[in-house]
Amino acid sequence: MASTLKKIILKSCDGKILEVEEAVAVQSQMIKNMIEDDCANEEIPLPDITGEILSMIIEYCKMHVDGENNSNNELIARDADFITRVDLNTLYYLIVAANFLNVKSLLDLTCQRVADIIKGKSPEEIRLTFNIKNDFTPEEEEEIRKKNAWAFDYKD
Amino acid sequence: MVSAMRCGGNCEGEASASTSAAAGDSYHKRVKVYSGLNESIPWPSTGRDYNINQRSSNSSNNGIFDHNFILDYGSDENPFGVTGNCEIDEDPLTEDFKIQMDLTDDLLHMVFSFLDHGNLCHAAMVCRQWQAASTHEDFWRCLNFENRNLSIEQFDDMCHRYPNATEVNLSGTRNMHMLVMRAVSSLRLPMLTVLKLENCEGITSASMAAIAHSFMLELKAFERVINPVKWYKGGPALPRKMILQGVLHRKFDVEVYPLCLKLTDSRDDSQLTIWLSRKCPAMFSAHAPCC
Repeated sequence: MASTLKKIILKSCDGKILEVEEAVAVQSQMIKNMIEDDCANEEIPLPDITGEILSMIIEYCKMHVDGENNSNNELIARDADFITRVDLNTLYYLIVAANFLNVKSLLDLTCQRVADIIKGKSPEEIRLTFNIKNDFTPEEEEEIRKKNAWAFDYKD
Repeated sequence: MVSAMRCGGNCEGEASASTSAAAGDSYHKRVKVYSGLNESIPWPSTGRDYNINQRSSNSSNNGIFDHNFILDYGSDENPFGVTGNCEIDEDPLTEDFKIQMDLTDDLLHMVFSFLDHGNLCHAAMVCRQWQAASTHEDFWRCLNFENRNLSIEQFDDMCHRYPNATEVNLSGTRNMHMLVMRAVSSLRLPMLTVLKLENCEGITSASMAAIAHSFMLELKAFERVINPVKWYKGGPALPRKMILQGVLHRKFDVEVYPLCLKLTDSRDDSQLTIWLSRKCPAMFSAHAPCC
């Protein structure tokens, strides 16, 4: 089909224009829907996604399209390599963008990454890592701590 | 660096010389890291200017210094405008996170779906939004209390919070006998279908009999002939007849809540699965026309 070579033009919020092969672009369910509805013939403006984040997402989608024939393990290794190179700020913007573009595998990967960062951390460490403000009153905090105490109370 | 941040976070809102000194250090480092990056990454330098202005304008007011910093960056959509600075650092996570991880409830839900109970409990203590997200019943369909010192009150509280749980693992819990009794109470967990009991030292013939009595459990199917002594470590013989007696009255029984008991013999780790159902006369009449 000739349409597989069609290019989709994406425009980031900071004005960066990226031409992407359709096969790569349709990794995004949102863009796929737009193509199916015949709304992707002109450039697609993407508010809230910077050029840098957009390039990373396209890099990721390309990796998945190119790697379709690779073994599952190889893809998992590449995913892991891709995501561990990403710092927290970028990770945050990637999640938001992956959610907007609806790239399921990237959304899973980024959310899994955040979960992995949370794992094993105390509440205070989590707050510091993600810059989250503790909005509990001391009483509320104590109550929640009590309610959840069983999870850390192992026999022996 | 890490300790400086920790202090900055803990002492938020307090005017203290050590806080401002520590915070000052960390900002200094931030600016340094950033300006190094700025040479290689073409990006508007507004973020950096902003940061410096912020620093000088607030430096005279240590009391709200940290606080303002966090708030400002929380509201600033693109605080540094720098991404991908992982290339300058082996572990990108050692860099400070400059913005709030301000995820929507849906995204937080997705993140939490990758966490186990222990980590969910830690996440619940972070802030109100996380607390609400972490207690979604989706994450608590399977209540795993394996090897925990769970009190009866705590167990009741969990049942009360998550009444739609379908699976309960009480393997190796301290009060197993009492907990099992409560777990199979339809008042507490009406959706329960699987009860996992491994390492059942706490289960006695009395508790099995009581369970069978109070819920009129009936043996529906079994993988092999049950030898109660196989999984029940010694003591008086189990009331096997009691468990089996339902077979004789099968035609009167309607399966309402199938209950699967997974029993493991701790001596040789052999597993046995018993499917039980609950007799329910009221349901029988409702289902009778279909049978």
